[in-house]
Amino acid sequence: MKADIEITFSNGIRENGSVRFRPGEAIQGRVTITPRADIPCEHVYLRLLWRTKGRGDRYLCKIAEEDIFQGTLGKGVPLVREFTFALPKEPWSYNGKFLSIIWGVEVQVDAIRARDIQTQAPFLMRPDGALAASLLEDTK
Amino acid sequence: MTTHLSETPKWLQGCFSVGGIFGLFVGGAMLFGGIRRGDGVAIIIGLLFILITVPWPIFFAFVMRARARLGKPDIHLDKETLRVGEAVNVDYAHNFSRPVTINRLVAQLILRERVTFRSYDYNTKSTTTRTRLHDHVIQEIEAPGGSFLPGQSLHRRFTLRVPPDGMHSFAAPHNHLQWLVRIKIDLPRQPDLPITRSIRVLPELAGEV
Repeated sequence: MKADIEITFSNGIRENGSVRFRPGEAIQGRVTITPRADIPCEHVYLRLLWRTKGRGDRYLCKIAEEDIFQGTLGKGVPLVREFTFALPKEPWSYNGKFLSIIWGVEVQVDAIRARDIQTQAPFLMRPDGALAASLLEDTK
Repeated sequence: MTTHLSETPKWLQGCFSVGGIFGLFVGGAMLFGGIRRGDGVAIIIGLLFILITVPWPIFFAFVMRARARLGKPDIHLDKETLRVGEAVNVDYAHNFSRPVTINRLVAQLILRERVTFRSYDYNTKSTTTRTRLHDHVIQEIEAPGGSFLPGQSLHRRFTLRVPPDGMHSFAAPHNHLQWLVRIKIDLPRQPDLPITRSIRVLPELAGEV
C-alpha cells in the first residue's frame, strides 16, 4: 500500500477489543492518511456504511459519504480529518452462521491511473443489552 | 438446525412423490432384470434407487394422513410486532373431530437466517440461484398432550420472549433475518406436524421510550 491509513474513534464503548456505538448515536473520530509517495487522486472519500457478509450475495449500504480531499497527497505529509457521523436506528450488528452485518468507517483514496487505496475500521452498533434487561425488570 | 421436513412446499412434495413412483418403477425394473440375469451390480443399483426415492412419497403420505386426522388447530398470537426483549403469548386451541393421541406440543421461538446466492457452473455455463436457511432455536417450551375423543378440545398457552440481547428482523437483498413462532405437534409413530407463524421484531428495546 502506498499510504498508511489510520482510522480512530474518539467516543463509543470499548468492548472485547472492539468499539460499540448505540443506534442513533453520533460517531466521532479521526482519519490520518500518511502517503509513502506522492499520490495524485481524484477524491479521497470517507464513508459510513454497513455490509452483509456470509453465504448470501453481499449487500452494501452507504449511509453517509464525504469527499475530504482532492488533489495530490504529498509524500510524508499526513492528511488528518476529524469526522462525525450520525448513526441510524438499524440494522444492528449481527454475527450468525450464514449472515453477518458489519458496520464500518471506510476511507477510499481514488487514485489517478493507479489502484484505489481502501481501508475500513469496523465497529459494533447495538444497544445496551444489559440496560435492556434491567428495563425489563423495571416494567414487570 | 434446518427447516422441518414436513414444512416442504406442496409442489416439492409432489415432485418428491412423482420421483418416488418413478424410482419404484426404474429401480424395480433394474432389480428384476438383475435377478433374472444374475447381475449383482444391477441388483445393488436397483435396490439403492428404491431405497433413496421410495421413502419420500411414503413420508409425505404419512404427513397428509396425520394432518387429515388432526384437523386444523387455531393458533392465535396476542401480537405480531414486538420489540427486542418483549414476549408474545401464543394460544393453541384444537377441537378434535376424530379420536387423536398427541404426545406433546412443542412451542419454539426461532430466528431464521435466510440467504440467497448465485453460483456459476463452468461446465454448463449457467448461473443458479440457491437459498440456504439456518434456524436458531432461541426458546423452546414443551406442553403435555393426551388422548382426545371427538368433540373434546385441547387448549394451551405459551409465552415466548425475544431475548433482551437479541436481534431485530432484518431484510436486505439476498439476506434476511426472520423471527418465527413454531408449534410442533408430536404424534405417536408419525412425523411431527409443525405450524409456523412469522412475527416482526422491531429494532427497539422493550422499555425504551
